Amino acid sequence: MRASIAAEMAGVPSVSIVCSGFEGQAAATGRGHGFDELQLAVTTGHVDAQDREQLIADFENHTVDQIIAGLVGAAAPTGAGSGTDTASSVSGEPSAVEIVAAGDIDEINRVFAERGWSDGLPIIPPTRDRVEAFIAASGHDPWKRLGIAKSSGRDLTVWSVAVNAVMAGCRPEQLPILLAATEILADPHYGMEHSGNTTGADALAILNGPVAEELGFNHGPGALRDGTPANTSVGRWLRLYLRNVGGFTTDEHDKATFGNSFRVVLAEDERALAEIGWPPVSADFGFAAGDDVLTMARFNSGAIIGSVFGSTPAEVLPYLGDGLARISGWDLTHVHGLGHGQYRPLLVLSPILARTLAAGGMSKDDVKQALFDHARIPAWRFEKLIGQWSNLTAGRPRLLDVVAAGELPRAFAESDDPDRLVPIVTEPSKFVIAVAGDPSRTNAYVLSNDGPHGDYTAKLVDRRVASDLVCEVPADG
Amino acid sequence: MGVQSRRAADRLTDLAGARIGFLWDYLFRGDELFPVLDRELRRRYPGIEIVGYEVFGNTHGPDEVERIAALPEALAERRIDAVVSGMGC
Repeated sequence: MRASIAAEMAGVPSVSIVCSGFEGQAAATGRGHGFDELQLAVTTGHVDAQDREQLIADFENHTVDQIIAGLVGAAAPTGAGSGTDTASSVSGEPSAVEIVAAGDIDEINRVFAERGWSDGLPIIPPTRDRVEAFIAASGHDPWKRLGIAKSSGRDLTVWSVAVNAVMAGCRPEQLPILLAATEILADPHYGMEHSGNTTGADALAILNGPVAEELGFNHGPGALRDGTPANTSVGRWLRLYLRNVGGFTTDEHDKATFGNSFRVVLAEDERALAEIGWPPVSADFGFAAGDDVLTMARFNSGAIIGSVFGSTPAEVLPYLGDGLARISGWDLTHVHGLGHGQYRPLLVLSPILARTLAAGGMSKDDVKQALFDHARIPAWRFEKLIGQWSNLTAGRPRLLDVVAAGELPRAFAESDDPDRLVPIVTEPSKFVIAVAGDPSRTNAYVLSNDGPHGDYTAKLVDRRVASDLVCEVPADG
Repeated sequence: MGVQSRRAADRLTDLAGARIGFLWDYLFRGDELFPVLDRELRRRYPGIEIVGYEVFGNTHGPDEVERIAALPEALAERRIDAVVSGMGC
């Protein structure tokens, strides 16, 4: 749809071919850019579930006529020229400060749930007083625009951040973290518009710096479980914000086949990191240890690497590598195909495992190199995962050919044996390693990321009082 | 500010002699379907010109942001009258 929208905005008429069942999201994407009725041509069923004969016959008999009708059919509604802005807003939505519901807390929750504004759990009513109080101490202009939600076209404002924060049960002192997350959503590198793709990945925010401990974030036992107010409320806010501002609901932009529950914030165990001399996750993205930083990416699958046995790196690394290999399936198309070198699985080590590796003399970079060597799968399996089994990489190329074309490193073609073991990332630095969880347990957790569809992006958490509303009175003179 | 409403581009009056650009996200069997569309359009509309998706590149790959931003210029440069874009699934 985004390509069609770009064409329409340039005054070139378009027709978008979509699979049956995708019409709603396509229409919502158009509305998000101000187009009420972009032309669609719909296939009969999902193309991936059809044999070739049926696919071609249905396309010839049904879809081609729709395409032609969309290209020469009814002209665009009369009025302004093509692709041009008109003065009015298409939204018909309540204004930012409009009172949308009144009554007791049960009534407010009923209305919000009915209108799809909640995540199914009770919310704190975002009264004007509560929202203003949430922002007041920060010094931020409530109407400051941090960007635009490319999905819905809605502005990302301090006010809308605060409204959803109140609803989620956040604390005002968490606002700088929420604003950092919003800056990430607004960053084209992150790709917020992909937050509703069909595989249902969900964002994980990783918090580094003194802010985590000062604001009561849990990095210990149950680090990825709901329960600690700080981790939970900020994680909940992110999902609410995507829903209410990004429009990621199942009747609009969310096409998740299954989806996951929202993820609580992952705070790293900075003391353990300091003790073993490893840099935090934020250092992978250009920040120094000690900086308050929020890093976000979207992840599909997660799996536990349970009961890691061993007291030396040589004993524990093969199992960790095996866990990373096991979690990597169709997502490998982000190594080559849908993405390019953007597959970056996250390994969360419990502190005791990190200490075992560090005590064996390994830096974090050493561990990444070792994982690059251990986390490998047969070449034939890699090719089937991105090609024959998922059809996600155009042309279903052989790794040998991709390497020959200079698009992957030599490690993917060290021989022509289909059983040769190939890495799951393009280079060791692509692994992201965090340290958190119960300090006395020998478990690890792995998550597969969704490549460019919510790519790792990090922003500073700026806790200084903003000067948005400070008036400067020129000195008399 | 929010979303501002926009008018869709005017449709073509006739496909005969028109120049149509194909845009593909390199997913969901577009490599099987666009040739069918190419064949059908040429059969039904003499003089129609088709500019293949390979000319514009992957609209959903790692370079999506840059490619979409450059699309208006690419369409103008090739004097494209209308586009067919797929596959959203």
